[in-house]
Amino acid sequence: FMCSALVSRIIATQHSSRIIATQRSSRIIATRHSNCEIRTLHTTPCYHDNETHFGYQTIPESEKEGRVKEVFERVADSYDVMNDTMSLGVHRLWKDHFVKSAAPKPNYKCLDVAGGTGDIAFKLHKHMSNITRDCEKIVVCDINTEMLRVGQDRAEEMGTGDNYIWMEGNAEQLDLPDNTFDLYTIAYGIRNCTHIDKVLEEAYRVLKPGGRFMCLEFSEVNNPVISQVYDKYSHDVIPVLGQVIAGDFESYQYLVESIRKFPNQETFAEMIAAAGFEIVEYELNVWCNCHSLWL
Amino acid sequence: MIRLNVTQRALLAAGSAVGALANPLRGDLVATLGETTGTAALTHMHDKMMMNKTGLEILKEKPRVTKHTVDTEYLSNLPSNTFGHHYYQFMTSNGLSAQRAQTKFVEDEELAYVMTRYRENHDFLHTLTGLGVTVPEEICLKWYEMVQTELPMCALSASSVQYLLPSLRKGFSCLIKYLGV
Repeated sequence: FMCSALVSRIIATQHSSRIIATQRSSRIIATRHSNCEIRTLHTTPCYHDNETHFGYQTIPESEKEGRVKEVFERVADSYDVMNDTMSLGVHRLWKDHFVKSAAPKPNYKCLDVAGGTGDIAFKLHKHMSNITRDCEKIVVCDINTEMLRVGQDRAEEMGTGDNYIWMEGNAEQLDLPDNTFDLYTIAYGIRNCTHIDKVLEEAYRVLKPGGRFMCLEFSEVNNPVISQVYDKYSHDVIPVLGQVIAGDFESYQYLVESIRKFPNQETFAEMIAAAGFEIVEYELNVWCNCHSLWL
Repeated sequence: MIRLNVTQRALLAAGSAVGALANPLRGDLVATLGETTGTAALTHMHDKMMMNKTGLEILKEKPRVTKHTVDTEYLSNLPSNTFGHHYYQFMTSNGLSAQRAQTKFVEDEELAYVMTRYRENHDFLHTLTGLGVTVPEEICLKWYEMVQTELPMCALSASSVQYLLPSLRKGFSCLIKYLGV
């Protein structure tokens, strides 16, 4: 760990809006340094050997991947509608901001992991093709074929199917060569992976030296007032919406719980640095309704 | 079996009511509505079953009517003066199979079974009453079930006036006017 210089900068921005519920997402950027060795950080959760969390349940580690796969198979068709409904469309703003920060150049080789239905990939492509038509194809990798199928269908409908390579794969064990990509993105996917440290190691491996790892994920809400509203909304409203719109209460209950189980920003930043990345930054964006009448 | 807190139950009942009215093809929302609003009625039904010899037997054995438990071959060979024969005729002529939505939101096991039994009985009631599967006939059957079970969900379905035939709707609104409601 001798050669890494951990630089962290916290930017917390507050915007007021008339949205009733508060959601928070954080963006983490890390750059791979050419000379660092990879060191694996083993977190020590309070589970027995070979057990892990699945939302608030405790299950054998070996089962987690299969169960997450099932969740996403069931929600694939209504995934986009549900995202819009649960976040009142705001997730599109977060993803736009994320892609703008990524600022991919047209000659960048981009890998979007857990990219399923294609939101990030489509935005990346739009960004690159605004500069020039002649840009690299984006590789979209997801463990779930149903999610990829939805993404492919959407790309076909938009007439841009040729710009993507849809790949079924596991973030913990990518079937991709070393030192290939300039940009690795993972949006709202890493918290569903069983071994986050392995995902980070793989990201480090497939990125070129100087390449960027970017992660968009829900994070801890520190403000106690906002977090109460947020918790009530997450636990009471979201699974109900899941039942009414997608016919699936349990999958959305899992998704809400998995946000709570994910390490907080500082811990996650440490994990990324431990995988060998340098210059780890995270940005918190809080859309809160402190100015609105509802609080 | 999914445990709901008070807020979830209230929201789910409201959401599934709106959803079911908006899209009547969402049978799962009708089922959800029934489960989230049915506790009092299910308790009442359970009590009545406990005070009846056959009811007690059913609650003890908990028989199921699913595609695994219904022996269609046996039913097809029954003579024409049997209930089983007519049930078989009803199911095959309407292309139905004995499979109902699972009860997910009723916490108490006994009450959950009563709900399941109510659902699985539905086709028996079709056979007994002779009502078919067209929308007005299904609504008539819901009136019957509403009186028998007192489930709020039946009341909602029974009041689906917008799906009644124009003539029935006319008759219904005349009745309302006559009653001075």
